[in-house]
Amino acid sequence: MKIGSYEFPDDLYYDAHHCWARVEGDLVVTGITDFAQKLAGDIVYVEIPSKGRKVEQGAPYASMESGKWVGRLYAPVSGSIVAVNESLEEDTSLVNSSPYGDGWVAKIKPSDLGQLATLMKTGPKLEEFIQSEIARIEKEKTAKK
Amino acid sequence: MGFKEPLETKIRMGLQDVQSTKGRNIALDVICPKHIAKVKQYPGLSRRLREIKAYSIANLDTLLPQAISSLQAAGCKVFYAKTGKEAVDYILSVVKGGTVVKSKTNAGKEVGLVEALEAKGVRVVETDLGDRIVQLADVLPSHSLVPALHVPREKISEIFTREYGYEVTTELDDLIAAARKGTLQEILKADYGLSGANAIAADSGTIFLIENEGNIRAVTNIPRVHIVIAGIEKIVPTPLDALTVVQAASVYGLGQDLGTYVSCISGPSRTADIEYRLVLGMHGPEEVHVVLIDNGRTEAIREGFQELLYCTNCGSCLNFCPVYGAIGENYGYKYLGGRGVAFTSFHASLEKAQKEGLSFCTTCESCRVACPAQINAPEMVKRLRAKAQKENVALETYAEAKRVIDAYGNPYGEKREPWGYEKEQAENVVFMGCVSAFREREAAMAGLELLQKLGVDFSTIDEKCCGGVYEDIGYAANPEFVQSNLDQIRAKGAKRLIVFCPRCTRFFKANKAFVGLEVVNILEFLSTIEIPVHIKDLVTWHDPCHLGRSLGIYDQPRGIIRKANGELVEPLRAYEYGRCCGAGSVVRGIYPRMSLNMARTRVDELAKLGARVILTECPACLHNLKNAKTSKHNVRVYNLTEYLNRLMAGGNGEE
Repeated sequence: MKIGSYEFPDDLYYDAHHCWARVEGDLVVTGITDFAQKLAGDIVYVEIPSKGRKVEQGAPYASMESGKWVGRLYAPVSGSIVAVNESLEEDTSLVNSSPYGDGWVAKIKPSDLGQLATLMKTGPKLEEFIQSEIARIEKEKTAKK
Repeated sequence: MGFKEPLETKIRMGLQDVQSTKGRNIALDVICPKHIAKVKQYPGLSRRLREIKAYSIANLDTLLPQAISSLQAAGCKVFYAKTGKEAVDYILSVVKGGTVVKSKTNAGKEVGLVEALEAKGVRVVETDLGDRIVQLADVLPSHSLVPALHVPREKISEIFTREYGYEVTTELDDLIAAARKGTLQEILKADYGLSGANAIAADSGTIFLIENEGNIRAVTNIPRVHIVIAGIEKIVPTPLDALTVVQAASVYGLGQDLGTYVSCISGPSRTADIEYRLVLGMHGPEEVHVVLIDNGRTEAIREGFQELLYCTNCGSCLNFCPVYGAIGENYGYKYLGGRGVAFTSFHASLEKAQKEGLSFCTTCESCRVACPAQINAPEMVKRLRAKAQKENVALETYAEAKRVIDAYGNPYGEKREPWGYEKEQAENVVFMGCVSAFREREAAMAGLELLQKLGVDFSTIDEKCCGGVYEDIGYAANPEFVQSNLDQIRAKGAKRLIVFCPRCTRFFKANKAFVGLEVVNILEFLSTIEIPVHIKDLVTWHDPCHLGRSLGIYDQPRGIIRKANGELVEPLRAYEYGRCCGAGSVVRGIYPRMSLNMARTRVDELAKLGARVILTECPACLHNLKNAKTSKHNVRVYNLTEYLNRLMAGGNGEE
C-alpha cells in the first residue's frame, strides 16, 4: 500500500522504528522502510553487523548515516544474524534506491518466529502510525525554523 | 548562490573516474616515498626558498622594473600584461600564423593561450610527451606532472598510429621512438617556440627552466622566435636564487636532486665572430619575447594573500592532498588543490573559486608540509571563506551550518545529553567536543571512564560548540558560546582544561579568552601520568591533522603506547606526513561520500601494515575511519583513551 508518498509492500511486517521484516524460508530479512530512507536522505554509511551476532527484538544492532542524520537499525525479531548485505559497504545508495530489495541489511535466524505477530502489517493501523510520524516530523521541522 | 550543483558534479565525476584514480594512485605511491626520502637530504632548502620568495614578493615593486630592464638589456622584448587578455592579445600580435611548439606553461594555461591561438588558426603542438598524448587523445590531463597517466598504452599506440601514419606498437620503446621522431619534426618546422619560466633572475634578466625530457631545450632553442609567458611572481633577485627555486621544485615535486636539464636563457642567441660585430640569432632564436602577467597577483598581495605567490608549481602539494587524491583534477580550476583554488579567487574570481571547490579543503595542512615554500593554503582558504560571506558569494550550506550551531550549540542540531561527570569544584575541566557528544559518544564515555579510573579530579561541563567549526567555514566563533564555556570552567575553580577533540584543543589554545588557563590535549595530559596497562596487540597510530601538523603532538601518543609495552607499526604517511581522514572543515558533513572515500584510502593504507588495531585520538577521525572500514579490513579502530580504558578493565583492549 501507499501511505502519503511512501511505499509499503503488503507482504512485509513493520515495526515502530521504521524497520521491515520479510519471512524467507526459516529466516527473517530486515532493512529500513521507504519512509525511513526518504526521511534520512542520501545514505552514506551503513554499519554492517557481524555474522553470528545475537540480536533482541526492538533493540538496536547497527547504525546508518546520511549527511544529516544518524539512525539505529532495530531488530524486528530476536535471534542471531546469519547473513549481512556486504554490498552496502561499497554502495550505500542501494538503501535509497531499493530499500525493500537490494538495500536489505541483515538476515536473522529467529529464535521465535511468533514475535512477528507483534509487528504491523499494511492496513489502517500502519497508516495511522505513519501519518502520526509524518505529522510529528512536520512539527519538528517547524520548530527548527 | 547556485554552488551546490557544480560542486556535487565535480565530486561525482571525480569519484566515478576509476581509471584516473588508479593512475593517480600509482604515481603517488612512487612519488611520495621519493619525496619524503629526498627532502630529508636537503634540510635547509625549504627555509632558503621561503626566504627568497618572501623577499621577492615583498619587493616586487622594485624587482619587476629591474627584471624588465635587465631582460630588455639582454635583448628580450618584454610585455607587462595587467590582465590575461592583454597577454593573449600581445602574443596573438607576435604570432602571425604557422605552428607553435610549446612546453608546459601554467601561465599560458591560466590565460587560455592555446585556445586563443587555435581560434586564430595557429597550429599548436604540445612537446611534453604526457601533454602530447593528452592533446592527441583529446582528454583532460589527470596529473600536473604526469598528465597522461590515465591513458593506457593501447590507446597511445592507436593515436600515434593514426597521427604518424605508420603502425606504432604498444611496446614502450616503439611508443617513445614514435613520439620523439614525430615531435622533433614538429619542432624543426615550427615558427614559434612557447615556454613558461620556473624563475626569472631580475639582475641578469635570465629565464630559468627545468625539465627532464629535453623538449624545453628544443622548443626554446630551435624556432626563430621564442615566447615566454610567466607570472610576475616568478621574479627573484639573482640567478643563484633562481637556481634554489628550480632545485626546490625538483626535490619537492619529484624527489629528484635536480631535474635533468636546467636551462638559463638570457635573451636571443647571438654571435660576434665576424669582425666582432654583434648579430642576434645564431643557432638559437633571434627574437625572445617575455610576457609577464599580473592577472590578479598584485591584488592578492594587496589583500594579504602574498603567500599564494610563493608557489613554484612543483605539484608536491597535490601529491599529499587527500582531496586531490579522491577527485583529482576536479579539485580546482587551471591550478589544482587548495592553493590552486585559493589563487582562482584572484586570477578569476571568488565566485569562481567557490564553484571550483573552495569548500572541499579539509584544512588538514598536508600541503603546507609538502610545500617547499611552506605555503599555508588552508589558512588562506579559511580567510577566503570569510571573505565570501562579506562579498555575498558564501555557500548556503555554510550559512545553514551556522544557523544550526547558533540555535543548538552544536553542528548536528540535536539536544545535548549531560556527560554525567559534573562536579561543583574540580582541578580539571574536561571538554569533549561535539563529534564526541553526537557521533562517538561510546568512545567518549570510555575516555571519561579512563580518567576516573586513573583518579583524576575532573568535571565535565554543559558544552557549547567551541568555535572551531565557525572559524573553519569563515565565521567568527559565537561569543556567547565562548563566554558560556569560559564561565563554566571558571566556576569549577579549574586550573587546567583537558580537551579531547584536537580541533577544540586547537581553538582553546589559540583563543585569547582562555589565556591564563592551562589548556592541554588529553594526550599531553596522559603522557605525564602512569597508566597501568599492558598492550598485547600490534597497533598502528593514525595522526589526526589538528593534533599533529597543527599542534605538533606526535610523540605523546607514541610514548603512551610504548610505555604500555605496545608494539607500534608506522605507515609511510605518519607524523607530519600523516594522511588526513577526510573529515575536517565540515567536509564530512557536507560532502560525506568524498570524505568517506578519503577515509577508505587511509584505512586501506593502515590495514596493510598487519596491525590488529588502528589507534587515534580524535572523534572525527575515529568516526570517519570506522565508517570507512569494511568487513574485508581485518583491523579495528579505537580512540587511544577508549582502548586504554578497555585494558584497564582487564580486557585485551578489544570488544
